[in-house]
Amino acid sequence: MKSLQNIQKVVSRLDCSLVEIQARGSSEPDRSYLIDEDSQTFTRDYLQYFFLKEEDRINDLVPSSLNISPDVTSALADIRDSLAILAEMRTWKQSGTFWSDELFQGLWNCVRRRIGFVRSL
Amino acid sequence: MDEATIGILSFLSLSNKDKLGMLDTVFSQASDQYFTKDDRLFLSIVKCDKFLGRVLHDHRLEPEFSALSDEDASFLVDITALLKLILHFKFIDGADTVWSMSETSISCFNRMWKLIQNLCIDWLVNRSEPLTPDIQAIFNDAYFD
Repeated sequence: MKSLQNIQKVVSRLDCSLVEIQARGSSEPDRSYLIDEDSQTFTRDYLQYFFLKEEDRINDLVPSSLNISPDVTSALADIRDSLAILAEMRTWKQSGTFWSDELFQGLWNCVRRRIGFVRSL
Repeated sequence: MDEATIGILSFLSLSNKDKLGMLDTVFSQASDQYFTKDDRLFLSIVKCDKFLGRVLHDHRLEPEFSALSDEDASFLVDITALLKLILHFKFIDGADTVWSMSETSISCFNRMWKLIQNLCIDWLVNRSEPLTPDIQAIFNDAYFD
């Protein structure tokens, strides 16, 4: 059984990772294991891996048997689904069919808004 | 934030079923001959996107006269991005209606829809200004101009 406090710890860690990724996006070329040498930005593969891994982690918190409020369950489902779509959007870029930084950034911000909601409870 | 914008956010926070019910009451009978409910739903999303885009455009041009706070504007930018994303899931398949979209796109569409709905509800619930009864009427005027 997961408590609200445990859930908040998990989403807080996720939020810290998102902040770290955003901050490092183009400013820490020394992190070569994550950075594309040409563009000096995070590699697509790393981000896809990150989103999918976190999606799994959040998914483990979602089961309906949890004794938590529907608001929290709903927020966790939003976070999980958004992470999946962020990963999907990386695929669009890879295939060259569609990409827009504005949309990616918008969804990214909305994930953080939902994380903020869970953290504020 | 002006009442018309709050009206748009109120509309976006409605459930899918409620949206369709509302669209039934506001669209003319003539439109019914040409559009299914799903078509109208998409049309409404496009109109929401355009309306919020216009609000943000005005805010950027003349921030001193804008009813938007920086926080409001930031929220609307994100919601507008989600509306564009939700529309993308229709167009990526070249689908005419939501039901002719691929299973993957429908799934993404539904997830984004729910996210928009929850964000708007959260935003509206936590506003310091209460919603006024006439918001719906103002919204109708602004939305279907």
